Formats: sequence, structure tokens, C-alpha cells
Amino acid sequence: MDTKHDDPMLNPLMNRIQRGDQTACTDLYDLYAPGVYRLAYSVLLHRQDAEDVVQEVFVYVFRNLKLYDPNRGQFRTWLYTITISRCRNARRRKMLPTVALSDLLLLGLEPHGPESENPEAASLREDANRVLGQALKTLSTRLREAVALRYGQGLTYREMGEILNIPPKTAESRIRLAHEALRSAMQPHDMALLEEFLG
Amino acid sequence: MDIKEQLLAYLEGNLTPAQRREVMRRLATSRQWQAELEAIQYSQSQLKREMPAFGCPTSKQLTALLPNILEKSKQPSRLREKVDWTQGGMLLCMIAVMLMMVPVLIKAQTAVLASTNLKNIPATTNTPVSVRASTLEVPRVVAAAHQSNPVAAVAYRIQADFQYCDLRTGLFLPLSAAHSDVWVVGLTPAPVPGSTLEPSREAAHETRQ
Repeated sequence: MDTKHDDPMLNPLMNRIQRGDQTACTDLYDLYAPGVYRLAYSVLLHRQDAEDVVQEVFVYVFRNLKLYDPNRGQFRTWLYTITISRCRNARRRKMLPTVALSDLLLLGLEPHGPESENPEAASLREDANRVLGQALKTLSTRLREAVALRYGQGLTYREMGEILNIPPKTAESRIRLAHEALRSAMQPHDMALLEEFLG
Repeated sequence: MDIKEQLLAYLEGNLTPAQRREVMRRLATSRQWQAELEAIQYSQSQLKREMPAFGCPTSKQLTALLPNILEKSKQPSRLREKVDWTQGGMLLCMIAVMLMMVPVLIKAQTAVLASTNLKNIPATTNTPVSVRASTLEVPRVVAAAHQSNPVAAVAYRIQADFQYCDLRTGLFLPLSAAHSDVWVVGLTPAPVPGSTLEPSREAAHETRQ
């Protein structure tokens, strides 16, 4: 069976997986795991939890790849739907408490960046990540999911709606609410820090 | 749509031309709208630039996870492990036995209820039966019906079957003889076609004459 996928790289990969090529699984993982991890990390804001979610997602995907129907949506949408579901499960298991901004530094917000970065760039990235992490931490889970999908993964409102099982208009409203919340959460000092890093 | 919603849609190009014109008109005239736009534009650009790099994993991090994922995905799922064919077969047998037991249990339950709670309900109910020729009243009724009497006759008998309770044994036993009655009941016959009066009134009219 040769099915057409939206992602041109995905088509040959799927064909190889269907033929039982084990290395194709590794290639699929290399292609999509960073996105899944970033999404999980943006929602859970915890490194170990995000890694657990990546494991759960890909074990499920490799076992149930035959369940994916390209006619019903993009592979990326299917993958992110599973990721969001696993993130919610993980969150439910841990029941992460809402904490004050001042306590955030004590929690597991561990920023990561490219290994090739020099120490100064890495330090700036850490600071920028910390600021954004703190700001994201002030959002509710639903708003954080919306921000992670919209700005972290660059999805449209329609795709967000499919993944979060909400109408596109609701997805748009969540982004608007997230903007409002983030604006008040990001302090001028932190904004300046971000500007410095990005500039 | 409130200001923020409209401005976000404006920035993302999700407005109709008419809505867009309206937003631009407001931006040109209102200081509040301009300030809102600046704020949204700022946070949006920050998020757009920063979020894709937020929480980027190291290659080591993800590579370390892969062997475990591949190993786990090759193993049967936990549900399949737990229910192998022998356990599954046993489960099916248990379900089949339980299904077979259902009618038996229902019958047993009914019997228990009958023996404990339903003693006052007679085993048989009152049954209408045909009038037998041996009944003494029958010839008289039939004769009356044949004598072109305007009043038709109906004969019926009610046979009541009762039970009595034997206090010594505690059992409900049927009465050996059924009690029967025959009554003759007069009814107004149906009107004859062509008659001007109802038959009963016609008869009364004739009697008066």
C-alpha cells in the first residue's frame, strides 16, 4: 500500500516501516522526536517528565503505526495529539501544583540548548529560557498547550483545534488570553534580557 | 470581538477586508488601540522567535531514549502479555458457564419466591367454560331462545376453581368439585331493519294496544 503524506520525507519512511525496515523507525524518531520533546517540555516544564512522554509517545506510535490514517490528517497532527494526551496523563499523575513565581527557580526548569554553543551564548540562552519558562509557568495548562502548539510548533488554529479537540475559534481565544497573561508575567527586566539575547 | 481579539486577528491576517479597514481606522485615531497593538505585537514577536528554541533537547538526550523505545515497542503490550491464549480460553469458558447458569438461576429464584411469598395466589384462575348439556337449565334456556321471544337469552356458567389451605400439611390443595351457576339474562335484541320503533318499544306499544 502506497499512501501519500503531506510531509514529503514521511512517505518513503512509512513505506520502509511497512516493509519491516527497522532503521526506518530510527529515522522517523530522529525526524520527529525533537518536536515531540519540545512540545512536551513546553507543556510540562520538566525535563524528566518530557523525556518520559517522548518514550511513551514513540512506543505507542511504533506499536500502532497501522492506526494512523493519512486521509484523516497529517502525521504531525496525529503525533502531537498523542503527545498532548500523554502530557495530560503525566500531569494528572504528578498533579503539578500551581506555584508562585518566586518559587520557580527551585523547580525543575532546566533549559537546554545546542551543545556547540559557547559558554556566554549558553548562559544567555539559559537566562532567556528561564524567563520564558517562568512566564509560561504562570499560564494555565490549556493556555500553555495553545502557546506551545502555536508558537513552539507553528501550527494553524485549525490544526490546534484538531489536536486539542476544540473549535479553531476557541484556539484563537486561548492564544489571545495567553498573550494577556504573558504580558503581565514578563517583567521589563526579563524583556530586556530577552532583547539582549535576541538582539 | 474585543480590541485584543481584533488586533491579534489583524496581526495574523485573519480579518475580512472590511474588518481590516475598520481596525486601521481605529488605529489611526485611537491612542488606546495603538498601545494595545504595540503590546500584542511585542509579545507575539517574542514568542514567535523564542518558543521554537524553548526546551531544545540535546542530541545525547534523545539518542539515550531510543534503545529503550525500540525495545519496548517490540514487546507485546502489557494487556496482551497478561491475557495469553490459555487465560483467554479460561475466561471465555467462565463466561459461557455463567451464561448457561442464568436461566437456571432465574428458575430457581422464581421457585423460591413461589414457595415463600406467593402462597395466596391460586394456581388456576376463574375460567369461563361452555354450558354442558347435562345442566338442568339448558333445555329451558334453549327453548326460550327458540320461541321467537323478542328477548334473547344468554346462558353462561362461571366455574370458580378455588384452593383451600390444609392447616395440618401447610399445603394449598384444589377443591375437588367446581362450583357452577347458570343464569338466564334478558337482553334487548338488535333493531329489525324496516321497523319504525325499537323492538322493545314496539312490543310495549302492542301490549298497550
